[in-house]
Amino acid sequence: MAIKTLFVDPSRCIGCRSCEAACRECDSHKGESMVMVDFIDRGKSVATQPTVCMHCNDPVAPCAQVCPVMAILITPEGVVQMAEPSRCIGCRNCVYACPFGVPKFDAEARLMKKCNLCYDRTVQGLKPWCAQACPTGALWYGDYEEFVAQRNGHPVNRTLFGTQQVNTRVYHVLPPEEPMLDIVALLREAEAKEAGTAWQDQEAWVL
Amino acid sequence: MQRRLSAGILSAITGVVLVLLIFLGSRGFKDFDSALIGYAVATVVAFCALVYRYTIWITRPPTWRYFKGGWANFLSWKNFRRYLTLVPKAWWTDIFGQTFIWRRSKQRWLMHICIFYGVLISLLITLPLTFGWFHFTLIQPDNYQMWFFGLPVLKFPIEAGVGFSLFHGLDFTAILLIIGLGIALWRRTRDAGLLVTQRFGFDLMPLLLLFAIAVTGLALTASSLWWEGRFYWFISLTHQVVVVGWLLSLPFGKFFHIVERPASIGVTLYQTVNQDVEHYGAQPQTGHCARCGDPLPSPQFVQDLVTTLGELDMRYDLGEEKGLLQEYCPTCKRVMRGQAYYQLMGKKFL
Repeated sequence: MAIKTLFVDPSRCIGCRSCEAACRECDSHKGESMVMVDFIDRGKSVATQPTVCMHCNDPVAPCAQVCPVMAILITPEGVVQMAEPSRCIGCRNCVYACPFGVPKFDAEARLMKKCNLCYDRTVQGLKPWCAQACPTGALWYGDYEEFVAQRNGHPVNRTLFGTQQVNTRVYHVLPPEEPMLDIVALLREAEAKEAGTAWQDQEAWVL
Repeated sequence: MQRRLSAGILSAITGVVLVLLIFLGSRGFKDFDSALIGYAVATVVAFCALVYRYTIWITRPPTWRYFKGGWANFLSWKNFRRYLTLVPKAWWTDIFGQTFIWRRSKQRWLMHICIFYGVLISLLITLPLTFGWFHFTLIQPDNYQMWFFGLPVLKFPIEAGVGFSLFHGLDFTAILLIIGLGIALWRRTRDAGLLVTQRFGFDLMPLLLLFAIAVTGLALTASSLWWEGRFYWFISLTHQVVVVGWLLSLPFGKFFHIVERPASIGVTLYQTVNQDVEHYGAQPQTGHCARCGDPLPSPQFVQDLVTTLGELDMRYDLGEEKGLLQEYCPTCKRVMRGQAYYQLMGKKFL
């Protein structure tokens, strides 16, 4: 059976935060969103990016591997769960080990919280709340073949952080033929471009 | 393999030492109550299994780092003045007062504190009794003598409050347990979030076992006080079976957190004393994010985390001028990924 997962396409994100609002409704982390919508370069662009847990599968969940009390469990389907409250001792290893900046930490409650791919909904074949609410398809839920049949773009689940490649269950949507999201190389390109031309001279790309 | 061997050896040593202590404490099994042998054997097996799992757990790279760091801080004279107040405070907030659960939910705190003290006090009464360390003799005409490890410790009149409290200790803890378990089961059957995420074996089974222990325990008292001993052997056998089941489940299920949890004291020490991460309130952190400059745990914390990741075959080296990914705050990690993404995409829309 094809594995259903999330496809994240920040180019479609309009920063409406519907995903955050929908996530807040979940009973397992009442009133607090586990999805984060960030401005990428506030002051220069209105571009935003939604972040959900990428559910790393190779290396398997760095957050779970660095957890000293084995509080972060991984389901047989490969979904990395939020910390088991009876075990989490609030050391924050997971918060700083996560390459994607996902886990949230409640210092007073000594508890890490994170997106668990709406496990309660997805095991029943329902979409996660964020994908259900996203009006633009920036967060899309389904299997790979379905995505390729319905959408443009190339789903990629490999991200390169300098010397470390991380394969994830959740996909980024990239332009065709891009094998991976190479963070450092792309940041260097962006910096070189920035140094070459003053940003004020650029034509506004959001009208 | 090495870890398993060490764990096996430690577990075997624990078993031998415990049996030896039972032998000594019960004065060569003279004070040992053979009717309670099922409890004693299950406790010894549970202890050995707990030591085995604890050793395997504590030697995992991230756990071992905190374990060593926590003890190094505890045994460091330099930190003495600071941990002098910190350790008792941590014992209160993490173990005896459990104030962090109060922050999660007040109902949960009440539930947990009832179960915690119910289980803890019950164990403190039951284990020495089943090991034959505690026993009572009658001093004619109406006094009891309490013995511990073969030594006389307390003499009290049978009808006095002390006697009543001692002999009904397990009834009081059973009532405490039933209150806590009632709240827990109420939550687990009403809370929509829990209903979908709880697992029967991990979350519900331990509660049901404890409930069965408390109810059958009270039924023993009821049988001897009001039912003229009817059903006593059946109830006591059922009680023994559920207690043995609970003891044997200790190392494998949810209740392993009873022995895991005190590790948070070590983590508190490691972080607060040495690593400048404050658990209990606002204290400035000494590290800074390499990109935005926002507070980050100390460089020592980051270095230890990087070493742990290295032991797990992971290294997030972003190159000379950018440093390591763990030197960035979570927000900057997300923003940098977004910047890289938009560099790739430009103004395209897929």
